[in-house]
Amino acid sequence: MRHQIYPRFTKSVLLTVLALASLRAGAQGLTAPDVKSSRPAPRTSDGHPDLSGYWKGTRDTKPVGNIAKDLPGLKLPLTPAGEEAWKHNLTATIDPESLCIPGGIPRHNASALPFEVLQGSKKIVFLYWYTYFRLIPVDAQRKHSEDPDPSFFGEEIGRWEKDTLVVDSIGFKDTRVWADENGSPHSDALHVVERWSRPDYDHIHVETLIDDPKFYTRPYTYSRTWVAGKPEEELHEYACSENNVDRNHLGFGPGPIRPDGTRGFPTLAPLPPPLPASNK
Amino acid sequence: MKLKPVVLVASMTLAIAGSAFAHHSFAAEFDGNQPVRVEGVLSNIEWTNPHSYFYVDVKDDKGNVVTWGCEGANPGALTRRGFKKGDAKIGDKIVVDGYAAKDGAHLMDARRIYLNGKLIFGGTEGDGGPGGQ
Repeated sequence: MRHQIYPRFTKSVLLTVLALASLRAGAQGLTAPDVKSSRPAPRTSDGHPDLSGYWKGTRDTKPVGNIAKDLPGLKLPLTPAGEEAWKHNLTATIDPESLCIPGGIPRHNASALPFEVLQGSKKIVFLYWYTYFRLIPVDAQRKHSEDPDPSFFGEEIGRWEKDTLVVDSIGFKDTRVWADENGSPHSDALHVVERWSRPDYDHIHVETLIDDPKFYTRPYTYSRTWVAGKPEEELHEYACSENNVDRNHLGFGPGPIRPDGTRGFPTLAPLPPPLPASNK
Repeated sequence: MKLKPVVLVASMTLAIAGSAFAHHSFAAEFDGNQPVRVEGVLSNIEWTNPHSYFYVDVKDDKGNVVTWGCEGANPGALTRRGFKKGDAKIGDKIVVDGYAAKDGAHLMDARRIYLNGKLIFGGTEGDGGPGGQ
């Protein structure tokens, strides 16, 4: 009985493992391959597209967890204050979501995790993997509060513009929050406008406008399309804080960020050789 | 319930490799350049969220016992892949391959778990391990 630290293996072995792992991961439950669809989007009794469903990200969304995905060079238009905030997130904060603090918006729109939507005529609810939810009133006459209590999802108001659900949100937190898995920042001046649509039965799409004049020199957008899960798929209980052993071992920031905008080590030492018994 | 042995090591390696979802970034906690193998006796299982844990009592040459915590996927992910809590028994011989925590704790990200000589599921998609984003 022992434990042993293993040295690096060859780069070719590593790359092979990573490539195969990536393929395998995509074939599993949390993501799904994109599909072509000729089925029209369902509609509710009041005539709006029904956004209800269990939605899964596709492998086409790269890099996942990065709100700079659609920006040239993956470069966020940070103000000096935004640069400072990002540096702080990377070097002095633990990922709030790993501490079971809600990710909020825009982070959840960039997440790799499936989510579920249930749509009513006056409210629409987004259910998330970590047993978090957004309950969005749909009311074109409703106005934002003068000074909403800061929250992770913000004060959200929905309205329909033809076949698009527009969700306008202000009143966000400014601390203990990352805007994505890479530790990108946002401030309490954040204003998010999401435009949700269901172009066909099998897809849901969002255009997310991120406007945060404290931390960003200009508004920018994050676009994403998800595919419908299988009829039997749905969210289940996931009590993030039940046994969060990690909280005492996590370092600051997300760890290394690769040139392609993903998180992880540029190189990785392979595991020890598999035991022969595993072939039996 | 019997353990489900696997045929191809390669396929199992893929099955336990991480993907884009993470409760936490793998690289924020574990060292991808420090692979480790622990061998010992299964002393405890925590079938919990956000991760499962397999605790391994490892005895050194002098007879001292050190307990390693081996982090696996959450119960839902393990169940989807055919591994149930009852498949492992306290006292089973266990070998775990994975990556050690950066902070030097006796904690590792489990990539492969062998129980009584048979390879079972360890981490899975969604645990933020190598290969993920």
